[in-house]
Amino acid sequence: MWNRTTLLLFIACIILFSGGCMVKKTLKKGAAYESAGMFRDASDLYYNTCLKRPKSPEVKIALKRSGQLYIEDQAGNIAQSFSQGDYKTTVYDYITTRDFVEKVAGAGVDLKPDPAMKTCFDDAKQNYLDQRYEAGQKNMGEHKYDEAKAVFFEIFKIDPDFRDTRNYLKQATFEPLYQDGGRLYGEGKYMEAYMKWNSVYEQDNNYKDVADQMKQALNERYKQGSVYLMNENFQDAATALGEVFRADPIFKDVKLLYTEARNEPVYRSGNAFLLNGKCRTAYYSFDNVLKDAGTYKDAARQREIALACAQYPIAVMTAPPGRRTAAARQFQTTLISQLINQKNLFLKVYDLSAIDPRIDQSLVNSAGIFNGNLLRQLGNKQNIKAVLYIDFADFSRNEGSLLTVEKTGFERIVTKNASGETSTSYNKVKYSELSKRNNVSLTLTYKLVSVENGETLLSDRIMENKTDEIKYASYYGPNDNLYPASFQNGAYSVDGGNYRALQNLLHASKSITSIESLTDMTFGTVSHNIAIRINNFNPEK
Amino acid sequence: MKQAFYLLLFPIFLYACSSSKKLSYDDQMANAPEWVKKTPGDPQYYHGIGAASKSAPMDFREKAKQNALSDLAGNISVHISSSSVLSQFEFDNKFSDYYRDNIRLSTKNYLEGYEMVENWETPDRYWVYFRLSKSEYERIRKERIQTALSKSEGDYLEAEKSLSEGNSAEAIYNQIKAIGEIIDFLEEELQSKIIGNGQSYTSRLFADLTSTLQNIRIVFPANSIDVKRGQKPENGNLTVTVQNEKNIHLTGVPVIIAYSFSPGKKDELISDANGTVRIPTGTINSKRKTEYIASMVNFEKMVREATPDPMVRKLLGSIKAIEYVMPVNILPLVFYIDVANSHISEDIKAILTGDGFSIASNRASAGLILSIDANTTTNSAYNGKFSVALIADFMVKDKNGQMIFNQRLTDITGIGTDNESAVTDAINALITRIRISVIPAMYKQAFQD
Repeated sequence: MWNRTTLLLFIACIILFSGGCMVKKTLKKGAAYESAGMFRDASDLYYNTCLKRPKSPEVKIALKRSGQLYIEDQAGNIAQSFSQGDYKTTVYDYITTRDFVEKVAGAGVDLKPDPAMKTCFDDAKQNYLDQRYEAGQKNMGEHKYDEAKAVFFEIFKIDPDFRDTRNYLKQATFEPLYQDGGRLYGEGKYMEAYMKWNSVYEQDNNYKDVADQMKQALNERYKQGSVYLMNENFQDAATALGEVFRADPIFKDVKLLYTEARNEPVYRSGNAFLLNGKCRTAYYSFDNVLKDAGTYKDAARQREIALACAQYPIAVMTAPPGRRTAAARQFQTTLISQLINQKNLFLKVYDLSAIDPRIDQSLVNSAGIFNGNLLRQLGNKQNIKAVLYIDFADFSRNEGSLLTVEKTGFERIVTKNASGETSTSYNKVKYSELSKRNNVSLTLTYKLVSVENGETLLSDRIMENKTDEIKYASYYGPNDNLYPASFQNGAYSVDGGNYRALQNLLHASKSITSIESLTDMTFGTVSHNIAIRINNFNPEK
Repeated sequence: MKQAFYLLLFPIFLYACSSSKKLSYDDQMANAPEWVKKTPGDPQYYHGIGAASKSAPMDFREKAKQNALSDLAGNISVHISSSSVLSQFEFDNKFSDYYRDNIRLSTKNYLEGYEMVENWETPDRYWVYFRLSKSEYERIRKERIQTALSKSEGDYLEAEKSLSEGNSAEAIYNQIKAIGEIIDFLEEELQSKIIGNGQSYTSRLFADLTSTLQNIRIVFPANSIDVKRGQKPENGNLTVTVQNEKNIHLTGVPVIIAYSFSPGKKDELISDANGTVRIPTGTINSKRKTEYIASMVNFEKMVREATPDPMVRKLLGSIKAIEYVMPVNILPLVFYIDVANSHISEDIKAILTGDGFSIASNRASAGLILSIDANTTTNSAYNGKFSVALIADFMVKDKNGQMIFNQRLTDITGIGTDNESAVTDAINALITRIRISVIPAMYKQAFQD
């Protein structure tokens, strides 16, 4: 309704109007404060408005007036508290006033403080800080460090260079930490003591003998860890030496000992696994040691031995040879590829028909029973540990035909007459609906059989079904004008309600996944599942 | 529609920008009288011009008057005579400036005999012009000086009387009051018949006050005392005597006591009817061989009680009472170290002597017996390393055999390449433990350190 310029003009007016309102409101409220003698409140009000409306002279003038009255009031208070010997009030009132004058100056308003205030402050400050300093010293003498710290911090804020305040503040801050460290050290809590002293050291590395104490604490904890290690208490040793290492990685030979405490038990268990024939577990133990330590004793050689010992060659055989169709061979190829892709260090995969066609022919009879002698031969001659046998129980591939159904519809026609008026009519037409369905179905069982004793180590039955279908409509004319028809009482009429459904069919995809692709996908899914299980299979468990 | 909208905007604009048009400052000041523009120069008078904004919440006429009187008072110069007490005494360098500033401020409060000459105003502001005849000012000032001098002389005579009665404290209070009466006229060279012509009365007051104060002596019971570390002086308290130069014991003199061994601790006490003060020293614990107890008249307190006037307080702040000091000899506690291992023994001796204690060569001459029973047990050997565990009992007894402190130390470990070096390492660990935690705990328990 309003154009852009009008809108901007309106907004500008609102801002101008509200700005004017704000100033008037501030001046009115400030005057009320001033008439009540509340000059500080009035000044704060004017100051805040001044920051928002820095170009408003009325507010600046009001701020100068009320601010000056406020500091004159303060000057009176300061003179009075000073004459009464209330030096604390004098000091803090002056600081408040000084800060106020500086703040107001920041808003461009210069106030003129009474110079007598500064004179009172200087005298009162000396007296007040003398008193506080003595109180702080007394607290220090009585070991009341928190109180002393508060006192010296107060002095520091008022005058950081007052006598020996910096040093006392440092002592009041650090001494309790330093002493806590000594107490914890005496209780044998060396790392807690170290942390206390370290918190001092980080702020002042020359505080007393704190650096030396830290070394002592680390040394004691190091010795605790060393004794744990000597007593083969590896867990506590790793904890103690780890704490020392993290505090100071180059402390004595802590890095070496910490490495030993962490890895020695793992190394030892690796050796024990190797002795017990649990070569794969042993491999992982040695591998973990080497990953952690880089090099450790003969762990690298032991890992090689463990790896050689943990090899697990398997021979893959799909379907009894009599039923070994092209599809079964294709599946076996896919499966072997998937097994290799697992990059299992221990697994070696062989095609049984390739390494021993004789055994391949006779290993499984028509009833699916394994020949034990042949299994053992396979183990002895080919060093195979297990046979992965795949039985194609059912496999079907159905490629459907493209089905066409002729349908009646209406084409919408819009015409315009000579006077420019439009009219709509519908012509009855024919269009086609087409459909197709492809399906692949596979059911198989597999088992991993030990050549040593024919034991089934792993088995499962898998069913996989993959289908794809298409359905679309085809029309020779303009698709957008095509409406479906409904047949009622012997006549066709325009079915506007199903227009969108028909349009979807007209724009639907006409491509279908081929039967070969569906086969590949089915084999891929099934063989992947089998490969995962074989990969996860640990013959040592 | 748009036209109606613009019509609506117009009054809003007018309202928002409605800061009414006023006359400019120059226009307003065009008709101002000459005294508004420039302070009159008539040398017979002190002149004061004051102005105030009419928007000020308080009575702007009164405000303008106060401003004019401040201006007038500021024009009255404060001349410090070279023979005045301010020039004669060695006060703080800043005091003369401080005095000058304060006199200017206080002059306004005592102004009399001024007259309003004229006033003038604009719609925003109000001006007023006051003046005071210089001769009139001088007459009134002389009257004020005379009144002050007469009150001061009264206090002075009271002080003299107190002194003759041997009451120095009362004399000091009166002398302070006598100075307070004439504090506004320190720049003058005041004369008084009661001390004889030709002498500066103010200087006499200061000299007498200083003399009275410094004639007060605080006498300790001995030239020095001996105190064992961690203990109180014998009899618990020290009694000092407050007396004047004629050895007359003074009553009611406030004294302040400070202790070098307890920084920050100060006791404010008053001499009793016998002129004595009992000093509660508390336990004296110091590593140093000598400490001291310092005592002086609490003159600051006397000034505070005698006058609320900050200028008098500041002025008299430069007068110091004499500090009397009594040395305190800290007698070191003597330990006998009963430890078989010479390494431990020597290190503990070094720690204790470093902390100010003495070591006796035989048990009989020691006040405290420190003994350590330590035992090591072989722990384990591994990879060419040996470890030992050490347990020790640390005990301190007095010469009567009474246990002062004891602590069992466990979890001390030594590691080495052989058993001997492991034991040496354990002993070093024991010494470190003793230094870091046992000795501080022993000091805390035995000496409230």
